[in-house]
Amino acid sequence: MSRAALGLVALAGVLHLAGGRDAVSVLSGTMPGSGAMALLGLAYAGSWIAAVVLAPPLLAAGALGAVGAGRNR
Amino acid sequence: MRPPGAWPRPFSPFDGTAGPAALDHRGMRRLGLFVVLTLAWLSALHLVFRQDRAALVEPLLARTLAFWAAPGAERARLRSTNPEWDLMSRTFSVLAFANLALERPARRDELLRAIDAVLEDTLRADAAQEDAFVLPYFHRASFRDRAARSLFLDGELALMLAARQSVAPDTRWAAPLRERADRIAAQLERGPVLSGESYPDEAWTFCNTVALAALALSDRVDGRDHAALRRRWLEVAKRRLVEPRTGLLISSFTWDGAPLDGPEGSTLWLAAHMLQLVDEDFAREQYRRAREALGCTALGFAWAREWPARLRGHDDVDSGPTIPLVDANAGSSGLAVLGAAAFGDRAYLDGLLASLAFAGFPRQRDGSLRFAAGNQLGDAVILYSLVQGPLWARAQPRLAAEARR
Repeated sequence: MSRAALGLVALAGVLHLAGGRDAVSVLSGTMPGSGAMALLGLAYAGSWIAAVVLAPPLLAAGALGAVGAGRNR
Repeated sequence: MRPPGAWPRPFSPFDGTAGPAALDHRGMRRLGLFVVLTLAWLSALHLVFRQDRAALVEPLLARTLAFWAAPGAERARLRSTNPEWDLMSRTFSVLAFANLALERPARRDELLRAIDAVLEDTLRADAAQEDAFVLPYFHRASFRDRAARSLFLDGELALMLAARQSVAPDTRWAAPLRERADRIAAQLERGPVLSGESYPDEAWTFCNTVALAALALSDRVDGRDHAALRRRWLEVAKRRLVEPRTGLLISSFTWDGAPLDGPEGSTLWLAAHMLQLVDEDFAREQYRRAREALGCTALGFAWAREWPARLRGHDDVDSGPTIPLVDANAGSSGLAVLGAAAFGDRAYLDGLLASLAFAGFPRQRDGSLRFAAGNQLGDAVILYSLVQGPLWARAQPRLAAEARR
């Protein structure tokens, strides 16, 4: 679970560095420059929302699971 | 017998340790834990994105002032999507500056200079090219009212001029305001339903209510009185321009009043605010109905639909796209911030601002703030929403007296 969380955060980070945050104007119908930028904006928006919504519970569940597994050993 | 761990591992996003079946006892426990934690996180997420309304004003003002100091490529991008947005962003910026100038005397001169610069540029552009701020279908036919020009243009220009004059009257803007107020009044009077066209045989509630608010502010500035016209417009609108199932004003109609588009969020929130200067009770009733039909809330977040659930329309250049599943529309949600602020709906406003912080993708730089999911128009709408009040309050005492008469 922790790896999935880190994967989501890393994906959002990479798309951010690629300029995704400046391309999300496509969500309001304002074209960010080109079709490729619009796709980047959509991908960034999806990855960012997924990272914010899913990464914290994934990390927490992973950490709690690891603690539980350690106790059972 | 296959030794434990020798099975090919199925794909699971949660996994790192699951065995042959991800849903074995341990996997189920982990999945259950993940679901519980996700629900707990979702119920608390809005607290992370809660906004201090007052703290947003200064950075949004810095962004808006910086934009008008050097509009450059950003304005070109706005215009290439929709030239109407360029004019509307000017109107909302001027309205925001005017409210702030009334509220903060120390910054009045700076803000008046900014208003004057926007007005000069806008009047120059409008005089140089009659279609500078309209979509190409402006030329598809002649207006039914042969004496008219677009009420969209005159209404927005008059509202800007009246706002400026409400802060501090300046003789150089008196004639341009009077000229536009006269044109608006004459155009409304000629209309079979007391409404003017913005495009050939196409009248918009958005534009007509902006024009009525401009007349109300203008009356306060120059001492004239168009109250009777405003009252008659409202009587006709209640009879001819209200969609019967929702009780909401329709968005667009032909010159003689045949409906074109039904109720739309990108029109209604603003129309309700403008109608506060015409009839506060009717305006509040429209807001209440819009909130019921278009407002959505969940987990401390809020957003707005473009259409009531049972009267679905189609996305267009005014509304912008609608995000599926949640039915959230950027244009309607942005203007819902104005509606919620104008009618004191604090819970809905807080939810909308939390959504804006979450899915509006704020970008802060050098003390200024913009929302990357929108554009300069969106930022100007949010700024105006947060500072609106003083300008409308100036026109209210007289309107209250009109209502008593």
